[in-house]
Amino acid sequence: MTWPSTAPALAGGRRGGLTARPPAGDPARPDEPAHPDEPAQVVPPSLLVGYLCALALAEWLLTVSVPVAAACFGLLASAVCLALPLMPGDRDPGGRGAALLLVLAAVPVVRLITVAAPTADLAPLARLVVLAGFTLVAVVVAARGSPPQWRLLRPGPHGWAAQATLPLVAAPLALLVYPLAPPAAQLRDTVPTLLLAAGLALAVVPEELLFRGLFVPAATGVAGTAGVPLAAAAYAATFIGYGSAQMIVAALAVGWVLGWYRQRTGSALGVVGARVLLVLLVYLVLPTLWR
Amino acid sequence: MTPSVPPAVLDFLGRGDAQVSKSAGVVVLLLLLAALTGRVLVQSARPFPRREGLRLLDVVAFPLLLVFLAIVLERFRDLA
Repeated sequence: MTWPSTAPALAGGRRGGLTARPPAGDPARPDEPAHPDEPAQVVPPSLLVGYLCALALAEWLLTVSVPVAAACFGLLASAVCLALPLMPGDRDPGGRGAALLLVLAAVPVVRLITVAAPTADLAPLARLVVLAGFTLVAVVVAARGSPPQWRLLRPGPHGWAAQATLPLVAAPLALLVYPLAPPAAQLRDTVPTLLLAAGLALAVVPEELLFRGLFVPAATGVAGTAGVPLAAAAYAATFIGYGSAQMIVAALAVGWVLGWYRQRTGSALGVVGARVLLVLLVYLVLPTLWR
Repeated sequence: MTPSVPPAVLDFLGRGDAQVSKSAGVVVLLLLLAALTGRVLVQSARPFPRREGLRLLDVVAFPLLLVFLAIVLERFRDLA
């Protein structure tokens, strides 16, 4: 199954406000790119790579000292906020750079919440749901500043059929993920199956909206085709704290595949469905078949 | 991927170090104060505030404000 790419539409978020500018190719402004859908260079991809390195360092610090890692997450979020004034509005076509900064700030904030939220007394599944609730708040606030072309919860230009068939990609992904990152036994063995399924589905939706729904189009907007692997790397970096290379590889693969589909279909609906199906397969179906 | 919390974070939470008077809570409080202060400064900018700046600070402040409230409520519960 192939879909025509919607990358230009995803990348070309145009908004009003201070970052609005006349249509590209204006003869009165010869320094502007002739093609408005070209990736904006307002945030160089090298800065995005630097951000990923800082995020990976903070995640690695989780294995050394959690308070130091929390401080690093805070510093990273502050650095992203301080980067906005350095971004001249007249060179930020469609507010792509500002939209990217929203996502770049949301990730360390979500990671800091994972460390700082008072979830010690909760059961494992309840902890995941509570953390997902906090993540959802960050995602909703970040999504308010995203261009409407990013289509978080609306079908893309290919309609509902494409979004409905996309979750099928979860089956091969689950076969890859299960041996590399088996599910935590503490979750599987403590709650009824239906409750576990509902909790897991709730837990992964905000994360998927953040990393595929927002991060992929934001990164694609400034880095072009490199945006998908960069977003996948950011997602994989959040698994460094587990200290398992296999888990990082599995996260990178999942992030890359789902990010590619998100970019091609122009909507986050299908990949959210795929992620929910993936986690249900890994937790509930494959453990019964793999014995 | 399978959702869970890293083991090191679980150990940390189990020690109660995430409370507002402890290390992670202090980081949350400092970042929250910085974001709220920055928001006030951006809002008072002349000739008019940059909308992207307000949104960016909202992304930092809103979730952390909720977490801070949760931490404070947890402390009250512990004291009760």
